[in-house]
Amino acid sequence: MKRKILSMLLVLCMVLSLAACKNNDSADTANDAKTTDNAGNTAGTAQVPDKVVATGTYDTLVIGTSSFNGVFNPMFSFSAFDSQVSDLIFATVSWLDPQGALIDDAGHVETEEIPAADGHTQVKYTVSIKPDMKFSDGEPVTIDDVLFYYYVISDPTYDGSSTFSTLDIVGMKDYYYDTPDYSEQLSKITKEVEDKYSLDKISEEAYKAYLRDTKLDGWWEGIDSYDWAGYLKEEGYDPTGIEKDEEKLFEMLVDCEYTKYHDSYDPQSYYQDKLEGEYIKGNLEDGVDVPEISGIKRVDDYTCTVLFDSPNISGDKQVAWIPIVPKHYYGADFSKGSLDGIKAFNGTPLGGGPYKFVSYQDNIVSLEANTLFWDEIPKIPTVKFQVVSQDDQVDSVINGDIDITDPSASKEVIEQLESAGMAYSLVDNPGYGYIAVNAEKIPDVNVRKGLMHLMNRTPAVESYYGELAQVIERPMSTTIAEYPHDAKEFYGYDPDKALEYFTAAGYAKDANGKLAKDGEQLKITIGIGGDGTMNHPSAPILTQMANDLQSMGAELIIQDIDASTLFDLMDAGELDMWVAAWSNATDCDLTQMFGSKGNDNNVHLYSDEIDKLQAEILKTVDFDKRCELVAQELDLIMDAAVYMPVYQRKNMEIYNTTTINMDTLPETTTTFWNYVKEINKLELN
Amino acid sequence: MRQYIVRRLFISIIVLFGVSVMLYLLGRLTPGDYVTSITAGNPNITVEMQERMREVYGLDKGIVEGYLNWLWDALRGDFGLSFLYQKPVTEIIMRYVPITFTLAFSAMVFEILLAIPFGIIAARKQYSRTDYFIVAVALVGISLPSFFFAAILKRIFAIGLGVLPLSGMVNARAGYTGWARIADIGKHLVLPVTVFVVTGVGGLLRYVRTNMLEVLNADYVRTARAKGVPEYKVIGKHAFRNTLIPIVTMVGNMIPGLFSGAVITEGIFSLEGLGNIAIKAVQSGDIPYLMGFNMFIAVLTIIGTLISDILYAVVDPRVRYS
Amino acid sequence: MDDIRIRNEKEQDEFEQNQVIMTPGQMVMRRFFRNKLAGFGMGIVIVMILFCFLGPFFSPYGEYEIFYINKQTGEEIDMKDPRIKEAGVIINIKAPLSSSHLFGTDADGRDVLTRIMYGGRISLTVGICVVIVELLVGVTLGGIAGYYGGKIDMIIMRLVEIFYCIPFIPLMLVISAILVGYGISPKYKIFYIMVVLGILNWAGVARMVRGQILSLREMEYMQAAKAAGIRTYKKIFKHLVPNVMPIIIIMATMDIGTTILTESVISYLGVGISFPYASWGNMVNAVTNSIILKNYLNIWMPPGICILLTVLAFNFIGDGLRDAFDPKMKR
Repeated sequence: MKRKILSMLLVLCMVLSLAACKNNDSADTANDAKTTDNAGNTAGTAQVPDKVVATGTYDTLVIGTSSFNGVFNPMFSFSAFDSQVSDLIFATVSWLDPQGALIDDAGHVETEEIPAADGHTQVKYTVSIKPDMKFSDGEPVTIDDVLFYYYVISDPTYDGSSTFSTLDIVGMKDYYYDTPDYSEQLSKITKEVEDKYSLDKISEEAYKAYLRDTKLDGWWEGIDSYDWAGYLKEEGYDPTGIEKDEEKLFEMLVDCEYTKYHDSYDPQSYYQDKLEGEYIKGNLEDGVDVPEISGIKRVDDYTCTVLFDSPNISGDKQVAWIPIVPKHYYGADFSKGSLDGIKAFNGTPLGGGPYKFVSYQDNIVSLEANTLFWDEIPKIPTVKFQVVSQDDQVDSVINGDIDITDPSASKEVIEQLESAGMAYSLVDNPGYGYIAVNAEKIPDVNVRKGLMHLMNRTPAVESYYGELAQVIERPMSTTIAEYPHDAKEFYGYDPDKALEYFTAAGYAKDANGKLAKDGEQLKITIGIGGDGTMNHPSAPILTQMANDLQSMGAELIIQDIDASTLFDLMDAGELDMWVAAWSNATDCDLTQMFGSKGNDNNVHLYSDEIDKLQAEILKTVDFDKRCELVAQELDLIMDAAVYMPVYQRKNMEIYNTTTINMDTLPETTTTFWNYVKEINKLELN
Repeated sequence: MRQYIVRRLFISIIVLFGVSVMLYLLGRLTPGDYVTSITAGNPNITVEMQERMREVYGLDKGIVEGYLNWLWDALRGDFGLSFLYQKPVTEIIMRYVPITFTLAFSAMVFEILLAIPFGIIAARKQYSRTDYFIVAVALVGISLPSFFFAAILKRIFAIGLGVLPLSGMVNARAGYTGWARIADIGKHLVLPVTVFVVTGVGGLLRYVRTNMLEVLNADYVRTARAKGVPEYKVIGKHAFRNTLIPIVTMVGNMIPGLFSGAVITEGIFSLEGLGNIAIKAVQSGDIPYLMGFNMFIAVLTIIGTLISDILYAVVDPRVRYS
Repeated sequence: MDDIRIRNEKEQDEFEQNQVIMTPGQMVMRRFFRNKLAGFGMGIVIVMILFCFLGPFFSPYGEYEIFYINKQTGEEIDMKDPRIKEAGVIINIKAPLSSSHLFGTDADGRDVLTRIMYGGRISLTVGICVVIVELLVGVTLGGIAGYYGGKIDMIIMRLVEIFYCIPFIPLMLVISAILVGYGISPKYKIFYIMVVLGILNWAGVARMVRGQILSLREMEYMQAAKAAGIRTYKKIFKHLVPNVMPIIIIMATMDIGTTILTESVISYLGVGISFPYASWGNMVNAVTNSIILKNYLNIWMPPGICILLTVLAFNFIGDGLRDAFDPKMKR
């Protein structure tokens, strides 16, 4: 469970990592990396005359967290726990309100649709920040700091978690690929490829070179023990004498495929990708040609505009839900293509949020109140983040070591907290757990449907989470407004029906009692990240499934592996099925997961109907109409039997009632709004 | 002797080279490299961006080329940037080694302080009730997984009685400085060190006991006793000095074990030491850190054996290396 | 005076007893069983083996059978029963001790007692197999190095050192990831783990065996054997092997215990024996969950005690054997 939560948080962070906090403060404590070593005292405070004084007995808020990577830089951090720290150090332009809608923080964003010269719609975002704000070192905040952030995350050598450079911003491709006429060059390449490498024009050498380079489009290496010699014989070739000589065999195959299956390969796109790649690589190596992104313009000291070439439903979030990082501090050595100077400050952040960085030592990050913060100045003088292992979180709050933390919720944790008199809040996790079936590995939809009928979800979820999670029926988080709450169960648990589907798919019990088709037993491999001990809410579902399949004569092979290996195998398409969770749901756009061209379409679902619906959803502004379309889309996805949604769970936050003045916590805590957003109002007893 | 040391050093370099080849190979063979692990689950990352990042991290190179690059840099003292921490590996090791070292060193001292006297007592009273008791208690310690023992200690002393801190290095709220801070750290290290000592002392104690038994049966001890030398002198002067030789070698070999044992214990007690971050590094494919950490342990191991071999020669004049 | 007489008679008796001619094997056995701890250890190991290998035949449940319970009626439902899809039926997790589940059920709703038996099978089998592998490799290479010396010795000993220098835990994590990456199913993973653990441990055995052979080679009787022109294989099997045997047996016994512990540690890291197989190691992991630690002693105590007793027993036996084999310690 530990690792699962970590990975889920990681995922959460990756997409939400743009979040940060507020304003200003001064202290050069952070200027030198060495200051991180000088302990939990408050070095360098001499420069801030008006220090915040504690309102009660306690002057330090201790937040329990998991281990840091020490990259407290919103541009480069990959860990949710590092981001937790930078969230307090950096102010944001806009952020999300309790309902998840974008609202102003230290700035504002205005959206405007404008027609381009050729008539298509472009979208212009006007981003502005409040005037007269200061960073914690006393330097003023200007729009250049926002622009600096845009340029860093659009840099060709950028390796952080932001995907800003993939947005359809005017001039972005030219900047990223460092070529002034990127699209022109690209069409030139396309034309060249069409002329030289399309199926009817391609030369024999080029075709064969393609076959050799791609190892027969992956076929040669894809199958371990294929009878190549036999195949060649069938095709009318004579491989006698060279069966053992792989090289010669391969050559003969290349020849065979060229002559007989000329039309079933696609050398054109191969050459297209190859030439494009070479071209782009060449561009970056010859100095900077495009110094600016033409769609991003500075208007005045506090305003800039970002021009998108096409509408994007989350475009405003992409441009405005960003931290304000001081250019004068991070950007001294910044030029296009060189980010090392920025990374040098990873361990010593400086921003304009409610708190400023003091030290990171002994697994504890110390922050102190930023008296130059633009909004109400925080009341708690010191905030510390302490690393606590997942197993100790609850006990640490109860015995008073830490004040706030977020353990994984369970019935027993609540009982324990209540008996100790501690407070907690529960909010819906913006994501859901699911079991996926790879349609490429299991192409027969009947087999997939059969598998779906073997998932007995309710008992598993109810006994693992109790009231803290519900079984959901469609693959979308219920925190999304468009989720169809009236959706009915699509595949109920029913082994008999499952067997019917398997039979329909052509599987039958053979003489040895094995459920087989064409002599091959039905064997499914499923991956799950259960810490090696099946410690996972979906584990009993799989156990039941394995037992049911076994009694039918089939086999479920469960691979209990750690999260990173699981993700890798999933990406590589090596698993028939897997158990995972999404945690980053911010809108109803599912093109990445279920669209034919989606980057995360790991289930390999290719349906024109769904693609069409998705495109329509993105264009539909009317909420009710959109809900209808989403419901339709989700039904289609369910019918394809690739995703079985399992649970929508709650996230928990617990508070130490002895130290925290409970009246000063936010009135509502939601998925998008918690004490961090109002930390400047929080008080200790 | 000098010739021997020079020869040993030379051999050590060959061994280190072998170790580094094996480690690099394994690190690179692991499915799921760093780029996959940080980009997994982010739907907006394109394959092209991943390729770009692999290039940045040098993961696009073949294993042989990557290894040679690593070796060439390492020979000049540059172990590269840790992917996870975005800092030079040497800096990270230097930063976290004091914690691990404090832990390992204090555990070792306590183990020696306990093992030698009790080992001797057990040996002197072989097959007595005292002997059985000491041996049984020591062996119980090495018959439990360390995480099991740690969980129970935490339950009793931190949660149940509340006399010792549950985890971490210092009390964050108090934020002590100076001596108070050192005392605070000391308090936080009590449980981790106890885990180390209890799960490690058995082996050493058993070793001391066996060696003592052997020496006590030696002719010169019998002679000394026959001469009427007082018992405390027999033990202290004749027997103990001779058992010291094998113990010295044993202690030299303990060092690497302590360091790799830290991987588990540090994780359980949330101590930010080398071992704890090594686990994270394996899980996320942080090859530079792993290489640095593993080579560090390899060097320690080699130094440990080397010192114990040399000490052996110093303590025991019968041993001559050629 | 009587005192002295009785004592003298007793000494006489003892002297006579000692006159009984015993084979070396018998002497070892006698010394071994005089050690109470060793005898105790032997007893435990036998009981554990019977419990784990015969126990499952008496258990009505399967290794990974889960149980459901109807929340309203409190009636337990078998996983094959169609009623498991009814509303209000949940999995019977963390059930208390009862007559149907003597040790209750675990966090996944499986019978703890049954899993202990199956887990013991796996843990003991892993322990023994790993030791066999490490002995095969270690004794062969160590023997070759010690007997032939020279360049072969040099190469083998460098290999030993390389293996010594590789930290075990990070290595295990990497290897496990590789196994999964190459799609090895859990059924076979168990064998790979055995082989890998064995291979990682061979270096210690090799070093020990080599040292022993080196010193034996210099013994007078070996010189004599050489002078008498005895053939090599006879020298090895008649003279060297019997003399190295004790140390190998002692090492093997203790390593079985150590391996059971190692298996539990790698399980703790999530890379050990995994589903559907139980092992004591992956069962005892529940102890790290603080709620289970506090409230469900029945889940973590039994496997913990099994590990403790078994490893302890192997250690006692090892110690007892060493004392018994080493004639110098005869009183």
